[in-house]
Amino acid sequence: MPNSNRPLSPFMIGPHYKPQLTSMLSILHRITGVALAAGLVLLTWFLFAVLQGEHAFLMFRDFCDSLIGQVMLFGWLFSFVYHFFNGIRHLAWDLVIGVSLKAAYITGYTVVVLSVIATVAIWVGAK
Amino acid sequence: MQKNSTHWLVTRLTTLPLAALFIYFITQGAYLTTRVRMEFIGWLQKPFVTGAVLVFILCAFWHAQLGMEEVIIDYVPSAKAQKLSLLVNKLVFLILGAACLYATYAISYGKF
Repeated sequence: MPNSNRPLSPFMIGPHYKPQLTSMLSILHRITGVALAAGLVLLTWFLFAVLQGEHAFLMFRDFCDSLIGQVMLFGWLFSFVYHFFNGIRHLAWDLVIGVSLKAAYITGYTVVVLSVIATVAIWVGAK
Repeated sequence: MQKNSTHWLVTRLTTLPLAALFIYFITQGAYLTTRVRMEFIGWLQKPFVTGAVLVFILCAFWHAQLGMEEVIIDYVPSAKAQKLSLLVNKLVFLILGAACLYATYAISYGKF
């Protein structure tokens, strides 16, 4: 039954659909959601490192301080902040608030600006 | 699949504690305690924090499992592969979530 030649949803954007703010923010909500889900593995590692003792804890900390660790943490922070703000947008839509095209654009740009500011503020604040 | 709108509803309901606790953890500077092991343990052992972290873990893993379920249903077209992916997805988040709940409990009661 499934036709493998048929393009699937996110891959429609580009060759078939013109990218728009609404569709880009929508797929970004998913991407950040998947990133957050993957990040839960890191949370599990952290909690067990704490449980195990100083040595395991320092190994985890060294990983976080490495370049790849920093990139992952920054990505996770941005994902959380964006998913948080855009999630509020989604909950509002569920209550039929802000569903007009104009409102979707205003709230969309607001989410982008707030996410960037909050991510940088929290990252700098944590240093 | 879950009955009727349960999937939809649980996805949304779990966001409420997640959003509230996200703000709580950030404003409390929770991440600042994560540099030193004993500092983090001391923070986690406060009764309210223990409860907050347990609720956060429960909601985060549940919400993640439900969200990944939607992604799998959308992008894994083959019925067999989809069924398997959904099962693996459930197991992974169930096991990791339970492990995190246990670790939080053990740290908070000094069982290490």
